[in-house]
Amino acid sequence: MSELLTIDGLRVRYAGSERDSISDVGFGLQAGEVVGVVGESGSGKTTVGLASLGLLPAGATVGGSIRFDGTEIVGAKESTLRPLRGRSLSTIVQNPATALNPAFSIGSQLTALLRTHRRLSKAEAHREAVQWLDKVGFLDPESRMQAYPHQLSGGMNQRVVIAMALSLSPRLVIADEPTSALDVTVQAAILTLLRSLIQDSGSSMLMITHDLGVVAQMCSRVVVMNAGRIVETGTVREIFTTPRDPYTRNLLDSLPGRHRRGAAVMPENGVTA
Amino acid sequence: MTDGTMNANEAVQAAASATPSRNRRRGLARRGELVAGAVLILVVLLIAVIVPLLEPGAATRIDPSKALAAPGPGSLLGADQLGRDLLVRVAVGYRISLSISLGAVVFAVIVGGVLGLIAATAPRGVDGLIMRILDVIMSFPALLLAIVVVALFGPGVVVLLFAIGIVYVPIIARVMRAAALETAHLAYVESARARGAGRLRILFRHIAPNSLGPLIVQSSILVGLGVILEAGLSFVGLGVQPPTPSLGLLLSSGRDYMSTSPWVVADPAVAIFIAVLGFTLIGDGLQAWLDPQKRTIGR
Repeated sequence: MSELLTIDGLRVRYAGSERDSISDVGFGLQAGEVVGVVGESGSGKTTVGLASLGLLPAGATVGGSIRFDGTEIVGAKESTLRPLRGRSLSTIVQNPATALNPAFSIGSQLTALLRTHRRLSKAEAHREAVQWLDKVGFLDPESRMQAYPHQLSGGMNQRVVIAMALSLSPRLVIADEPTSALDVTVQAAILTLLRSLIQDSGSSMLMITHDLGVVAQMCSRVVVMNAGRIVETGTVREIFTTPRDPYTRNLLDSLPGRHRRGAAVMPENGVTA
Repeated sequence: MTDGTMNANEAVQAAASATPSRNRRRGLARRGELVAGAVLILVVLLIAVIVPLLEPGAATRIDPSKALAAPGPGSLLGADQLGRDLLVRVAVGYRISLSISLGAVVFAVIVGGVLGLIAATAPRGVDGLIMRILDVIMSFPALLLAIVVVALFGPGVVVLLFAIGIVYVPIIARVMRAAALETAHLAYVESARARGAGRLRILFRHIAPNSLGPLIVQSSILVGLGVILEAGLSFVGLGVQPPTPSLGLLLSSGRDYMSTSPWVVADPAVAIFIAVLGFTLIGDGLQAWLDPQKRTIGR
């Protein structure tokens, strides 16, 4: 199997910043593989995702290379990136409440997406959009087509976002904290859905998250990041059973139910949820 | 899953119903403004549409026997120095003034709105160029700028419309740009970009429809202001030409009789006041209505 995404020596510095946000980041992702990028807030994991989509804000300096399916993303023109985005490179963002345009119904957003990228007729696009809503678990997809994002819960909106991300059968989906804004029960349902859809479609996924639980459930390999650098890479099994880096061990110890009895890993008055 | 969503919705509803009553009274007061403004404008529109139809030609029909007749049963608002019925003239004046004002705002929204959208999303240089040119236009006092345009193209209804429209373009463009800048950073715009949406699609489907609130508010207030600008220009003879009655022209031609027959001036003046008040109230009410944060939090 060839590598679908190859990141090599990636370095990003945002405009006005004194130091690199990420430096010397490199890893690869095989076609059909789900790779997790974990790290705490500010570790640079989101920057890796944005850079892979070519969506870093103007003024950011980027070094190194990101090759997606033979195309160099770093320094590529908008005209090179646009045909890739959506069709072969897609994204699921963190907060479903703001990820959908509030001015249009979810049906019209889904149909518009299908029509612009696939040149379907109105009726075909509608039919396919309904199928997608059905696939992502809407009980009454036909009538829900008319619903606006504010009429749906966060979990349902995230299902729409997932439908939009996968409806064009992209080769790679970059999911940035897809479940972090949702409550735990919804989270589990969304992850199960995402996993089965990814498996069915044969897409690859880059899963960016701070949650090792998510990684364990979804990924085959993990990249652990801290302070803008990769500290450890390995299969999920390796990382969870024999973590080599002390940072990875701390990260694992922060999981509830994992730390040894009596071991102080968090202050007593720390966050309990 | 379904249970989870229901609970979330219920929680939101519970939070909403727990809003302090002070805020709710504020909300009602705001809605009151909107309703009052709408009623005033409805009355104005009814007068403008219906009254001239009742007596065709009455607006310019001279009747010396009724010259400067006081308001009474025969003519509700009195008559001017040539015996023309003032209610009819005010109604026709509304037609002319409001057409000019609305036309000017429509023109400004199309031109200024597009310029503002472009400025908000274009590279810095283009943004700067557009906005600095508009700043130059804006640096002229409104009335002076409109006078310059009229002086260049001669007086008349159409010229007046564009003269006021040009005054409004930079105002609308600024409001549009500010709103669009805010919208452009929202996640769904970024998501649209990530899905490969083109520039125009992002501008007109994702940014524009979600930035219209402030534009609508500003437009409503500008329609009211346009009535005043039109009146001012017509008053000094640079706007609508007689015998076509406009509100400003009525004010101007009645001023010689103000001391003896105040209604000749008071009628158009009150008419202007009602129209401007109506549009301003609608603007204020809409602002509160379209901005849910101000609606619930209050200032």
